[in-house]
Amino acid sequence: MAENYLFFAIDGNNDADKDAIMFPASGFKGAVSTNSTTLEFFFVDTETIAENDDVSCTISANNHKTVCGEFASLANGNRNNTNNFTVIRDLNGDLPSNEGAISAAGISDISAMTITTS
Amino acid sequence: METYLYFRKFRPASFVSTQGSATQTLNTITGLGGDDIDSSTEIAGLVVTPADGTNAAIGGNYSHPGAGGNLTLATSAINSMSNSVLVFDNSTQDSGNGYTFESGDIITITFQQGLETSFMYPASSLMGIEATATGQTTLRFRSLKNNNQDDVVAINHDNGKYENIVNGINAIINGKNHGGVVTVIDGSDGKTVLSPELQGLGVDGLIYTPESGY
Repeated sequence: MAENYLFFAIDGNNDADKDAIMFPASGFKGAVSTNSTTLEFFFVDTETIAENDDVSCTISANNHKTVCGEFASLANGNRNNTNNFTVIRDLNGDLPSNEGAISAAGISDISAMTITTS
Repeated sequence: METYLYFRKFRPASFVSTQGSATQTLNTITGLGGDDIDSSTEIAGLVVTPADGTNAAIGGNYSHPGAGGNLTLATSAINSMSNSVLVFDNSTQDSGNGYTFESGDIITITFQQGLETSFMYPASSLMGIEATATGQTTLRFRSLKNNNQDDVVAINHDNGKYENIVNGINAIINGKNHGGVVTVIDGSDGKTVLSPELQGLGVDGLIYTPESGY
């Protein structure tokens, strides 16, 4: 089975630290609610030396279950003979006019993100 | 294909505290399935129904609704939330949003998703399932944060149902009907939604203990 890669990008130019990040789906460790509008996703630390990395997502109030379901569908959506590059959320809106989100914009209910790596 | 296990703690739709005396400490919230509320992020709203027609000791942002009327209080004036006991600022502590309760006042609390109310793990993170009491089975997952300890999910159920719980979890993970997210236990709004594999086992509690707070 080909690996599925999960992409996150905040509203920036993908040219600064923590503007964007990609994890293999197999590195997903889980998710937890942290308040009524925040859901935090955890992944194996990309440097494998410290605490896991995480992406804290702002969502609609109390919509955690729906977002978890959409994440699961995307993370499981790998197919053989494709590049298996899956956008969980791409918030970039200020790229050059002939560019936009790398592919699909991902889970629409995610309105902001904070990427934390160790 | 990975199966993702979703859990949400037992929480009532609302809780009513009738003040037996003039105190800012509300009655202990019940119906929580064994897992206390320790964060005010789980409080969606507070409404006070005064017993008396007047109360001069209320914040400047409020107008007294009269005896039996309803007044929505600002959650920003929650003083503390620990061990399922909410303490609210009086009008001296918060001159704008505080409210000094009187004996007989009724406070209705509503709830929302807050800190660690719900969580999801990939089935591949499940490390083991152990019987921790006659009526409790504990699932251990690789931790979200990787701080060298496990994240622990304890399920309360009828006595002697450990094997049934284990069989149910095994069926959830290996069943052909899944492959995305599975709601294992959702105890929100005073209702209990269980995966079919866990029904009939008297599941009535869910205690989540991550290795460290989030």
